[in-house]
Amino acid sequence: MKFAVIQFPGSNCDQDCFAAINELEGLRAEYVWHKETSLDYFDAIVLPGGFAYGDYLRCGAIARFSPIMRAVTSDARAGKLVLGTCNGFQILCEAGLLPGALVRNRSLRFVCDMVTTRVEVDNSPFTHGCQKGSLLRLPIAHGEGCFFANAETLRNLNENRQVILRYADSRGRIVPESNPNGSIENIAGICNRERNVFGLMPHPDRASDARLGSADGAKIFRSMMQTISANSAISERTKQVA
Amino acid sequence: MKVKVVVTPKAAVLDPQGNAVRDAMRHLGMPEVRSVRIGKYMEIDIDGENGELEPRLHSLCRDLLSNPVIEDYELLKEKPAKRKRSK
Repeated sequence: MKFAVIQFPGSNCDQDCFAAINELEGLRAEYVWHKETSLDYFDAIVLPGGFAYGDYLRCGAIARFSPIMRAVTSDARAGKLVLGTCNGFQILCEAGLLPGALVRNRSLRFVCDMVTTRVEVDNSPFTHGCQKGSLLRLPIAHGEGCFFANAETLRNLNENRQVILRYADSRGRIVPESNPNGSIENIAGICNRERNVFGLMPHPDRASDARLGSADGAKIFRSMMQTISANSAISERTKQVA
Repeated sequence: MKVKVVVTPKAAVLDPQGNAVRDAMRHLGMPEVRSVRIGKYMEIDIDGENGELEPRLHSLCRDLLSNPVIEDYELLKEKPAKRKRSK
Protein backbone atom coordinates (compact mmCIF):
# COMPACT_ATOMS: atom_id res chain seq x y z
CA MET A 1 0.00 0.00 0.00
CA LYS A 2 1.55 3.29 -1.08
CA PHE A 3 1.27 6.63 0.71
CA ALA A 4 2.39 9.85 -0.98
CA VAL A 5 4.17 12.38 1.24
CA ILE A 6 3.99 15.72 -0.52
CA GLN A 7 7.07 17.91 -0.29
CA PHE A 8 6.51 21.64 -0.57
CA PRO A 9 9.40 24.10 -0.43
CA GLY A 10 9.55 24.64 3.33
CA SER A 11 8.04 21.34 4.45
CA ASN A 12 10.05 20.04 7.38
CA CYS A 13 8.06 17.06 8.67
CA ASP A 14 8.17 15.16 5.40
CA GLN A 15 10.90 12.89 6.81
CA ASP A 16 8.95 12.32 10.03
CA CYS A 17 5.90 11.26 8.01
CA PHE A 18 8.03 9.12 5.71
CA ALA A 19 9.62 7.31 8.67
CA ALA A 20 6.37 6.89 10.60
CA ILE A 21 4.60 5.39 7.60
CA ASN A 22 7.44 3.08 6.60
CA GLU A 23 7.62 1.84 10.17
CA LEU A 24 4.26 0.10 9.70
CA GLU A 25 4.22 -3.26 8.01
CA GLY A 26 2.37 -3.19 4.72
CA LEU A 27 2.80 0.54 4.20
CA ARG A 28 5.30 2.26 1.95
CA ALA A 29 5.82 6.00 1.78
CA GLU A 30 7.19 7.87 -1.19
CA TYR A 31 8.03 11.53 -1.52
CA VAL A 32 6.21 13.54 -4.16
CA TRP A 33 7.59 16.96 -5.08
CA HIS A 34 4.94 19.69 -5.19
CA LYS A 35 5.58 20.34 -8.89
CA GLU A 36 4.25 16.87 -9.80
CA THR A 37 0.76 16.70 -11.25
CA SER A 38 -0.50 13.18 -10.62
CA LEU A 39 -1.09 10.99 -7.57
CA ASP A 40 -2.79 8.11 -9.41
CA TYR A 41 -0.09 5.71 -8.24
CA PHE A 42 -0.94 6.21 -4.55
CA ASP A 43 -3.56 4.82 -2.18
CA ALA A 44 -3.43 7.78 0.21
CA ILE A 45 -1.96 11.26 0.42
CA VAL A 46 -0.19 12.92 3.35
CA LEU A 47 0.47 16.67 3.56
CA PRO A 48 3.23 17.06 6.15
CA GLY A 49 4.00 19.84 8.59
CA GLY A 50 6.46 22.65 8.10
CA PHE A 51 6.39 26.14 6.73
CA ALA A 52 5.48 25.79 3.06
CA TYR A 53 6.56 28.88 1.16
CA GLY A 54 7.78 30.34 4.44
CA ASP A 55 4.16 30.75 5.58
CA TYR A 56 4.24 34.02 3.64
CA LEU A 57 0.93 35.90 3.44
CA ARG A 58 -0.88 33.22 5.48
CA CYS A 59 0.03 29.64 6.40
CA GLY A 60 -0.76 27.50 3.38
CA ALA A 61 -1.96 30.44 1.28
CA ILE A 62 0.61 29.96 -1.47
CA ALA A 63 1.10 26.21 -1.11
CA ARG A 64 -2.54 25.60 -2.01
CA PHE A 65 -1.72 26.79 -5.55
CA SER A 66 1.18 24.37 -6.03
CA PRO A 67 0.69 22.16 -9.12
CA ILE A 68 0.23 19.00 -7.03
CA MET A 69 -2.80 20.52 -5.27
CA ARG A 70 -4.96 19.97 -8.34
CA ALA A 71 -4.30 16.25 -8.04
CA VAL A 72 -4.83 16.35 -4.26
CA THR A 73 -8.18 18.08 -4.78
CA SER A 74 -9.43 15.80 -7.55
CA ASP A 75 -8.29 12.64 -5.72
CA ALA A 76 -9.93 13.90 -2.52
CA ARG A 77 -13.19 14.53 -4.38
CA ALA A 78 -12.92 10.99 -5.78
CA GLY A 79 -12.74 9.62 -2.23
CA LYS A 80 -9.03 8.96 -1.70
CA LEU A 81 -7.85 9.35 1.92
CA VAL A 82 -6.00 12.62 2.53
CA LEU A 83 -4.28 13.42 5.83
CA GLY A 84 -2.92 16.87 6.65
CA THR A 85 -0.87 17.38 9.80
CA CYS A 86 0.00 20.83 11.15
CA ASN A 87 0.99 22.88 8.11
CA GLY A 88 -0.76 20.22 6.01
CA PHE A 89 -3.99 20.98 7.91
CA GLN A 90 -3.53 24.68 7.21
CA ILE A 91 -3.03 23.97 3.51
CA LEU A 92 -6.19 21.80 3.37
CA CYS A 93 -8.22 24.62 4.95
CA GLU A 94 -6.79 27.22 2.58
CA ALA A 95 -7.54 24.90 -0.35
CA GLY A 96 -11.17 24.65 0.78
CA LEU A 97 -10.94 20.88 1.26
CA LEU A 98 -11.70 21.41 4.95
CA PRO A 99 -13.91 24.12 6.46
CA GLY A 100 -12.66 26.86 8.81
CA ALA A 101 -9.21 28.36 9.15
CA LEU A 102 -6.18 28.35 11.45
CA VAL A 103 -5.13 31.65 12.93
CA ARG A 104 -2.47 32.93 15.32
CA ASN A 105 -2.36 31.19 18.71
CA ARG A 106 -4.28 33.15 21.29
CA SER A 107 -1.12 33.42 23.42
CA LEU A 108 0.79 34.86 20.43
CA ARG A 109 3.47 32.28 21.29
CA PHE A 110 4.80 29.40 19.28
CA VAL A 111 3.74 26.31 21.26
CA CYS A 112 5.90 23.20 21.31
CA ASP A 113 4.47 20.64 23.70
CA MET A 114 3.02 17.20 24.25
CA VAL A 115 -0.77 17.35 24.43
CA THR A 116 -3.64 15.00 25.11
CA THR A 117 -6.42 14.74 22.56
CA ARG A 118 -9.74 12.94 22.93
CA VAL A 119 -11.13 10.85 20.10
CA GLU A 120 -14.63 12.18 19.40
CA VAL A 121 -15.44 9.99 16.42
CA ASP A 122 -14.40 6.36 16.36
CA ASN A 123 -15.87 5.32 13.01
CA SER A 124 -13.89 7.63 10.74
CA PRO A 125 -11.42 6.15 8.25
CA PHE A 126 -8.65 7.71 10.36
CA THR A 127 -9.69 6.73 13.89
CA HIS A 128 -11.67 3.51 13.74
CA GLY A 129 -8.74 1.82 15.47
CA CYS A 130 -9.45 3.99 18.50
CA GLN A 131 -12.32 3.87 20.94
CA LYS A 132 -14.59 6.87 21.31
CA GLY A 133 -13.41 8.91 24.26
CA SER A 134 -9.97 7.32 24.25
CA LEU A 135 -7.00 9.64 24.61
CA LEU A 136 -4.12 10.11 22.19
CA ARG A 137 -0.89 11.70 23.39
CA LEU A 138 0.50 13.69 20.50
CA PRO A 139 3.07 16.47 20.14
CA ILE A 140 2.24 19.91 18.80
CA ALA A 141 4.56 22.60 17.42
CA HIS A 142 2.89 25.60 15.86
CA GLY A 143 2.37 29.35 16.02
CA GLU A 144 -0.86 29.44 14.01
CA GLY A 145 -2.93 26.54 15.25
CA CYS A 146 -5.97 28.29 16.66
CA PHE A 147 -8.89 26.75 14.80
CA PHE A 148 -11.60 29.21 13.81
CA ALA A 149 -14.96 28.63 12.15
CA ASN A 150 -18.01 30.85 12.04
CA ALA A 151 -21.13 29.86 13.97
CA GLU A 152 -22.83 28.13 11.05
CA THR A 153 -19.73 26.13 10.06
CA LEU A 154 -19.22 25.13 13.68
CA ARG A 155 -22.81 23.94 13.95
CA ASN A 156 -22.40 21.85 10.80
CA LEU A 157 -19.14 20.38 12.06
CA ASN A 158 -20.80 19.27 15.28
CA GLU A 159 -24.03 18.06 13.70
CA ASN A 160 -22.22 15.99 11.08
CA ARG A 161 -19.74 14.68 13.65
CA GLN A 162 -16.78 16.05 11.75
CA VAL A 163 -14.80 17.00 14.85
CA ILE A 164 -12.48 14.01 15.23
CA LEU A 165 -10.14 15.21 17.99
CA ARG A 166 -10.38 17.75 20.80
CA TYR A 167 -7.69 18.92 23.21
CA ALA A 168 -8.41 17.34 26.60
CA ASP A 169 -6.81 17.06 30.01
CA SER A 170 -5.29 13.81 31.25
CA ARG A 171 -8.72 12.65 32.45
CA GLY A 172 -10.31 13.29 29.09
CA ARG A 173 -12.18 16.45 30.08
CA ILE A 174 -12.51 19.20 27.50
CA VAL A 175 -11.48 22.20 29.57
CA PRO A 176 -9.98 25.61 28.72
CA GLU A 177 -6.75 24.70 30.53
CA SER A 178 -6.11 21.89 28.08
CA ASN A 179 -6.51 24.16 25.06
CA PRO A 180 -2.97 25.03 23.91
CA ASN A 181 -3.79 27.62 21.27
CA GLY A 182 -7.29 29.04 21.75
CA SER A 183 -8.99 26.78 19.20
CA ILE A 184 -12.75 27.15 19.20
CA GLU A 185 -14.35 24.36 21.30
CA ASN A 186 -10.89 22.81 21.82
CA ILE A 187 -10.91 21.48 18.25
CA ALA A 188 -7.65 19.74 17.36
CA GLY A 189 -8.69 17.93 14.19
CA ILE A 190 -11.62 17.79 11.77
CA CYS A 191 -12.65 15.87 8.69
CA ASN A 192 -14.72 16.87 5.68
CA ARG A 193 -18.37 15.91 5.34
CA GLU A 194 -17.45 12.90 3.17
CA ARG A 195 -15.01 11.84 5.92
CA ASN A 196 -12.06 11.08 3.63
CA VAL A 197 -10.05 14.26 4.31
CA PHE A 198 -8.67 14.73 7.82
CA GLY A 199 -6.62 17.62 9.16
CA LEU A 200 -5.13 18.01 12.62
CA MET A 201 -2.64 20.35 14.25
CA PRO A 202 -0.91 17.66 16.37
CA HIS A 203 1.77 15.47 14.81
CA PRO A 204 0.91 11.76 14.61
CA ASP A 205 4.10 11.47 12.55
CA ARG A 206 6.18 12.47 15.58
CA ALA A 207 4.39 9.99 17.85
CA SER A 208 4.72 6.71 16.05
CA ASP A 209 7.33 5.08 18.23
CA ALA A 210 7.23 4.55 22.01
CA ARG A 211 10.86 5.62 22.15
CA LEU A 212 9.72 9.09 21.13
CA GLY A 213 7.35 9.31 24.07
CA SER A 214 4.18 8.08 22.40
CA ALA A 215 3.15 5.65 19.71
CA ASP A 216 -0.45 6.89 19.57
CA GLY A 217 0.06 8.58 16.22
CA ALA A 218 0.60 5.21 14.56
CA LYS A 219 -3.05 4.42 15.31
CA ILE A 220 -4.08 7.02 12.76
CA PHE A 221 -1.85 5.64 10.00
CA ARG A 222 -2.93 2.09 10.88
CA SER A 223 -6.61 3.06 10.72
CA MET A 224 -6.03 4.55 7.27
CA MET A 225 -4.36 1.33 6.13
CA GLN A 226 -7.25 -0.79 7.41
CA THR A 227 -9.79 1.49 5.73
CA ILE A 228 -8.02 1.24 2.39
CA SER A 229 -7.70 -2.54 2.48
CA ALA A 230 -11.35 -2.92 3.53
CA ASN A 231 -12.45 -0.63 0.69
CA SER A 232 -10.37 -2.44 -1.90
CA ALA A 233 -11.76 -5.80 -0.70
CA ILE A 234 -15.27 -4.45 -1.21
CA SER A 235 -14.50 -3.13 -4.69
CA GLU A 236 -12.87 -6.48 -5.61
CA ARG A 237 -16.02 -8.29 -4.54
CA THR A 238 -18.32 -5.97 -6.50
CA LYS A 239 -16.08 -6.48 -9.53
CA GLN A 240 -16.44 -10.24 -9.19
CA VAL A 241 -20.20 -9.98 -8.86
CA ALA A 242 -20.37 -7.81 -11.96
CA MET B 1 -1.59 51.38 -12.43
CA LYS B 2 -1.04 51.18 -8.70
CA VAL B 3 -3.50 49.49 -6.39
CA LYS B 4 -3.52 49.05 -2.66
CA VAL B 5 -5.09 46.11 -0.89
CA VAL B 6 -6.02 46.31 2.78
CA VAL B 7 -6.82 43.01 4.50
CA THR B 8 -8.42 43.05 7.95
CA PRO B 9 -9.56 40.26 10.29
CA LYS B 10 -13.33 39.77 10.38
CA ALA B 11 -15.08 41.07 13.49
CA ALA B 12 -15.82 37.56 14.77
CA VAL B 13 -12.16 36.52 14.56
CA LEU B 14 -10.07 36.99 17.66
CA ASP B 15 -7.10 39.28 17.03
CA PRO B 16 -4.65 38.71 19.90
CA GLN B 17 -2.04 40.89 18.21
CA GLY B 18 -4.48 43.79 18.07
CA ASN B 19 -5.40 43.24 21.71
CA ALA B 20 -1.73 43.30 22.76
CA VAL B 21 -1.19 46.57 20.91
CA ARG B 22 -4.42 48.02 22.39
CA ASP B 23 -3.15 47.19 25.89
CA ALA B 24 0.26 48.73 25.14
CA MET B 25 -1.40 51.92 23.92
CA ARG B 26 -3.48 52.11 27.08
CA HIS B 27 -0.34 51.59 29.17
CA LEU B 28 1.42 54.36 27.30
CA GLY B 29 -1.07 56.94 28.38
CA MET B 30 -4.03 56.52 26.08
CA PRO B 31 -6.79 54.79 28.09
CA GLU B 32 -9.28 56.04 25.51
CA VAL B 33 -8.25 53.33 23.03
CA ARG B 34 -11.19 50.95 22.66
CA SER B 35 -9.82 48.43 20.19
CA VAL B 36 -7.04 47.79 17.70
CA ARG B 37 -7.36 45.44 14.75
CA ILE B 38 -4.23 44.48 12.86
CA GLY B 39 -4.38 43.58 9.20
CA LYS B 40 -2.16 43.64 6.15
CA TYR B 41 -1.44 46.30 3.59
CA MET B 42 -0.15 45.59 0.11
CA GLU B 43 0.97 47.93 -2.66
CA ILE B 44 0.71 46.42 -6.09
CA ASP B 45 2.11 47.84 -9.30
CA ILE B 46 0.37 46.56 -12.44
CA ASP B 47 0.93 47.09 -16.14
CA GLY B 48 -2.13 48.59 -17.76
CA GLU B 49 -5.03 50.79 -16.73
CA ASN B 50 -8.06 49.20 -18.24
CA GLY B 51 -11.09 48.19 -16.24
CA GLU B 52 -10.74 44.61 -17.37
CA LEU B 53 -8.04 44.17 -14.71
CA GLU B 54 -10.41 44.91 -11.88
CA PRO B 55 -12.52 41.74 -11.83
CA ARG B 56 -9.33 39.65 -12.08
CA LEU B 57 -7.83 41.59 -9.19
CA HIS B 58 -10.93 41.04 -7.08
CA SER B 59 -10.84 37.34 -7.75
CA LEU B 60 -7.18 37.16 -6.67
CA CYS B 61 -8.02 39.20 -3.57
CA ARG B 62 -10.55 36.53 -2.65
CA ASP B 63 -8.44 33.49 -3.61
CA LEU B 64 -4.93 34.48 -2.58
CA LEU B 65 -4.50 37.85 -0.90
CA SER B 66 -7.18 37.26 1.71
CA ASN B 67 -8.95 34.26 3.20
CA PRO B 68 -12.69 35.06 3.18
CA VAL B 69 -13.24 32.69 6.11
CA ILE B 70 -11.33 35.00 8.46
CA GLU B 71 -10.63 38.22 6.58
CA ASP B 72 -12.21 41.08 4.64
CA TYR B 73 -10.36 43.01 1.99
CA GLU B 74 -10.58 46.40 0.40
CA LEU B 75 -9.17 47.18 -3.02
CA LEU B 76 -8.13 50.79 -3.43
CA LYS B 77 -7.18 52.14 -6.80
CA GLU B 78 -4.86 55.07 -6.94
CA LYS B 79 -6.55 57.89 -8.77
CA PRO B 80 -4.82 58.59 -12.08
CA ALA B 81 -3.02 61.94 -12.04
CA LYS B 82 -5.27 64.65 -13.45
CA ARG B 83 -4.01 66.12 -16.67
CA LYS B 84 -3.50 69.82 -16.38
CA ARG B 85 -5.49 71.72 -18.90
CA SER B 86 -3.35 74.00 -20.97
CA LYS B 87 -4.88 77.38 -21.40
